[in-house]
Amino acid sequence: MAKLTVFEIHTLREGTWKIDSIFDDRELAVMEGERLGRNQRFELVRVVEETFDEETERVGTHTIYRSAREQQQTDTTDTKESPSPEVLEALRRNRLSASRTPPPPEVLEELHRRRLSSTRTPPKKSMVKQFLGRAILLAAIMGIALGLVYILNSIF
Amino acid sequence: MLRLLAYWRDLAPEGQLPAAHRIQPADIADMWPACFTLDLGGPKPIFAYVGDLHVAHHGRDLTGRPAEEAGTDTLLWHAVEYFDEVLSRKIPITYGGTFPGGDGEPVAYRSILLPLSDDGDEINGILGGANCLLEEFK
Repeated sequence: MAKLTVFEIHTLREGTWKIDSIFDDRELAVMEGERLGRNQRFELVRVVEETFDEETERVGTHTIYRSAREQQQTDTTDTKESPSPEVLEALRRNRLSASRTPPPPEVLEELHRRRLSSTRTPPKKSMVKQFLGRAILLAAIMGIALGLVYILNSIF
Repeated sequence: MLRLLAYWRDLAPEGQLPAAHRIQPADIADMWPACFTLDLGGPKPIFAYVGDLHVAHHGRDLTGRPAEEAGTDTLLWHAVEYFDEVLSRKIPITYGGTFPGGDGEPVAYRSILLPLSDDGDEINGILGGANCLLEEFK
C-alpha cells in the first residue's frame, strides 16, 4: 500500500490561515514558501507536509517550513512543537562547525610545550594497599627494634 | 512552473482569483507556447487555447475541443486530469509524473493548473502550463 504525500502552502493574512497552493514536490513547495515568506503581502507562511497512508487510512501532518517571522514568534512562546527540519539541520551544522573550529596556532604551541614539560602525578593508591604497606613497614620497624634490644641484651 | 505561478499571483487582486482577460501572452512570451487555457463555462471543459509546443507534440490542435480529447496517458491529458481538484479547492495545484514517450520510455513532466474567475470567486477558467524533458520542450 502506498503513502501519498502532498505539500500545502498555508498563508496567514488578516488573522486568517488559508491553503494557498498544493505541490507534490517538496523542494518546489519550500522554494515557493520561502518566496512568499519574503513577500509583505502575507503575515506568516508555512509549508505543511501531508501524508496519507492508504493501508491505515491515516493522515500525518508535519510542518517543514515556517517563515522567519513565525519562527521568531515561536521562539518567544512556550511551545512543545519541535523545530522544522530546516532549523534542525542549520543547528546541527552550526554545532559541528563549532566543535571543529581549531584553536589559534600559538595556543596549540603552548599546549604542546606544556605536555612535553609536565611530570605526571602518580595515581593515588587504594586505601587497602596503603594500610598494608604501613602495617608491613611498622612490623619491619618493630622487628628491627626487637633485634637491636636482643643484641644489646646479649652484649651487656 | 513557479514563474507561471508568480505571474498568476501578480494578476490576482488581493484575496481574489484573477480573470482570464487579464492574461497578456506578451508578458509571458517565453512560457506561452507551453501553456494552455480551459474554459469551464459549459457542461464540459474546453481548450480555449493550446500552446504551439503542445500542438506540435500532440500532433493536433485541440483549441476549441473538449479536454477529454487529449487522450489518455499523454502530456496534455496528465496536465488537465486534476482540474476537478482545482475547481473544488480554488487554489493552484502542481503535479508531476511521467508519460510514455514516442519510444515507449517514460518521460518526466511537470504541470500546473491555476484557477481563473471573472468575478474573483467563481471559477470559470483555468490557466495551465506543462513541460517535460523532451527535446522539443527545451
